[in-house]
Amino acid sequence: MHRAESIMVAVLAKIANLTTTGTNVERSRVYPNNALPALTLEQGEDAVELQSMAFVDRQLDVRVIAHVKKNTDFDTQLNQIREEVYIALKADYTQGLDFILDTVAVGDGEPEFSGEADKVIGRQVMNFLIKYRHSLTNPGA
Amino acid sequence: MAVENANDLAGFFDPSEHGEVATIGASTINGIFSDEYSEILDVSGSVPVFTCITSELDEISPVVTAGTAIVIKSVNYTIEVLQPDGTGVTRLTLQDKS
Repeated sequence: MHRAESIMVAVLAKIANLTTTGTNVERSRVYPNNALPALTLEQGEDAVELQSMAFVDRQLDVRVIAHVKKNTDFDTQLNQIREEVYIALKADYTQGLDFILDTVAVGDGEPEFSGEADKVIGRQVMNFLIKYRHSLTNPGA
Repeated sequence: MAVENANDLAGFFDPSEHGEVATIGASTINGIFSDEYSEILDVSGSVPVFTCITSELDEISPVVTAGTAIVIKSVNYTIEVLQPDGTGVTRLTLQDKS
């Protein structure tokens, strides 16, 4: 298994069952969210940072997206979710995988809100960079 | 000259035809209610809208403004935006308070 896949599985496990979003967590969801508040996990660019004769160091872009829908305090709930996700992903920079070198919080996007539905809908993207190493000849080892 | 006269409008919003009765405070008003499915910011929902005759809305006391509670089909909403179209009809954008 490509180590990027192992990382996504590990990150998904870390953000599942957080206090605010609970089990409303999905990876690469392509349909609109019904159960809210929720988190979606998306994989971004997986750039090569360094290459030697033996290994390759990469930086995997991981996006965690918070979704909320409520009448009041929707911005407060987004900040609460951001706090819980940050704590979950920074508690152990390896995410339980010995080939991860670091987990870097790159920054969070500007919150987006819409009042065009039956309740206010909000969304905010949290960006993390997972630095990891794999063999020169096999990204799964 | 307006396309519709008062009788035309009243018929259009008649609850025995296409209309619904909404309750605002102690008053009632006829209008057309829609609650179409929507997808906004990757979240599914609906867009509740009540369209009614502007002059009937203006007669309600206290004055109907953004934030006024309105009940339609036993569901509690709040009026978020009043959009008079200039031809005697006002579109109320609603928020579900449940």
